[in-house]
Amino acid sequence: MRVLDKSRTVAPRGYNRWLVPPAALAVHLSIGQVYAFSVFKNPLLERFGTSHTSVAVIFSMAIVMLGLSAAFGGKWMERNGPRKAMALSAVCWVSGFLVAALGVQLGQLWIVYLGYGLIGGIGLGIGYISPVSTLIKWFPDRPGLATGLAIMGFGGGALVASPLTARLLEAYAPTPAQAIVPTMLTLAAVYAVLMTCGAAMIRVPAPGWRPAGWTPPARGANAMQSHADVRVGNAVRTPQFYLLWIVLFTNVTAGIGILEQASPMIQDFFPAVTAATAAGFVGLLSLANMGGRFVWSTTSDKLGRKRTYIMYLGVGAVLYAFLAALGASAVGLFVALTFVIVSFYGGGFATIPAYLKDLFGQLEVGAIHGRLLTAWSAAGIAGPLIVNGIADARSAQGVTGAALYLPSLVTMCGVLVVGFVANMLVRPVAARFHEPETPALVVPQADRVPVGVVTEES
Amino acid sequence: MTSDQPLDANDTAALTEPAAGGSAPVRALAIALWVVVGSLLAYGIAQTVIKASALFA
Repeated sequence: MRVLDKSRTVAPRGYNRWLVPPAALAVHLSIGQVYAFSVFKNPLLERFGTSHTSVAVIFSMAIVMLGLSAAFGGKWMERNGPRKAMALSAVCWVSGFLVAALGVQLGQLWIVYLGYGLIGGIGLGIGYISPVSTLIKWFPDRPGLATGLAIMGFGGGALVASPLTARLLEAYAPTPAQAIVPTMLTLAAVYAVLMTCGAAMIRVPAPGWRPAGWTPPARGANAMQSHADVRVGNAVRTPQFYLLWIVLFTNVTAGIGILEQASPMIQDFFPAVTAATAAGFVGLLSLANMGGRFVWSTTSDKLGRKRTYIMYLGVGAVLYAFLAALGASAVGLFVALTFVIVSFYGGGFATIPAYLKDLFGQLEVGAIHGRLLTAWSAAGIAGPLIVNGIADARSAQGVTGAALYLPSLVTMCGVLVVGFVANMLVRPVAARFHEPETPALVVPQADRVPVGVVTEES
Repeated sequence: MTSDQPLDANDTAALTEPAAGGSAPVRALAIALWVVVGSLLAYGIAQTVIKASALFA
């Protein structure tokens, strides 16, 4: 399988870097389906006749495995290159669907856990980090754009999978419960093709490659940007890693606070809002989540990563406070505030790899990103626990309407303030963690091609 | 290949000849993939906008 070797993915001279993002998007669009898992929830409940919790475990397992496989597979991915990693991701993700379909067919829920949750979850983690790491290497001049492009695909994956899955469930059988197996098999086939194309088309730049006419900014131009690389083993020994872990954890926890309860929340705030309108609100938030990934991450290239997180966390905390104080006054205000909050949530996901690249260099940024994604897994557990726990407790006290969510909103405001402080404490990584400098392998000027121009060789 | 590792024979070969197949087919496939992922994204966004429009109905 030499075709999967890292050496076989090195781009030839003059390769147009804009040919690489669709490969990354193909993988992220596929694995982003995980956020549309809720479409399977009711059919699975009907098929297995079990509790909501039992079915919710499938999604939770997948997200936990995402964090774990990204954390432990990142180093392997850096060593073996993105094509092998994407191929492994495709095998796991598609196998996950096939095994889960078998579990549904046999009526064995544990096989669904094993398939979608465990095997599929491994595919998620490896598939998440490899395109991000690769695009960062192609866009050293615009890492925020690069990570925004890739991670936008993950958000977009849910937008594609949700209506597609709903249509397949309707089309294959009289009831959705009877259509789960053919729907899963169809999705497996679609994702197998798409991810294989992504793996085939991925390229890494040659050593020392730089965009034409671009030179790394002078030292001091941006104090946060490192001109040296830090290996993952050293990165996890720096305070910066743990500060960014807190930043990601708090940003994700706060975003989940809205996303988890979006539909019931708007209906409780405004009793006149119907279930159909609430579904529209959820759709709008999905757009905010996806759009924020690209727009805010790209903006961070101009604004700087630290300032961007000051905005996500600081402005986010203020918006949460406004939501708690004034959210119930008008639907328009409520929608506008939550829209911006969720766009910050998406932006936080997309900007973190670029922040890591600034601090630790691009040498093992994929592996470091993988380790940091454990914050996502932790937030995926903490966020819903906080929101649901408080809402349940208030409900038991007989509280209704907007007041049901006020403690949650105030708590999330506090969570964001913690993240804000952590971000303010981030300083450049100490030189003792840097790898020794080696002479750069710079592509001769004559061999460079202008960025974005399609050449004969591309 | 990242800049942290020295070049080996395979890498050198990869730098002097097309990485996989001819360059024109690679470019055509990459552009086709752009079309596919762009269409999928457009489909997802359009479906979501239709869903979201219920909020303003």
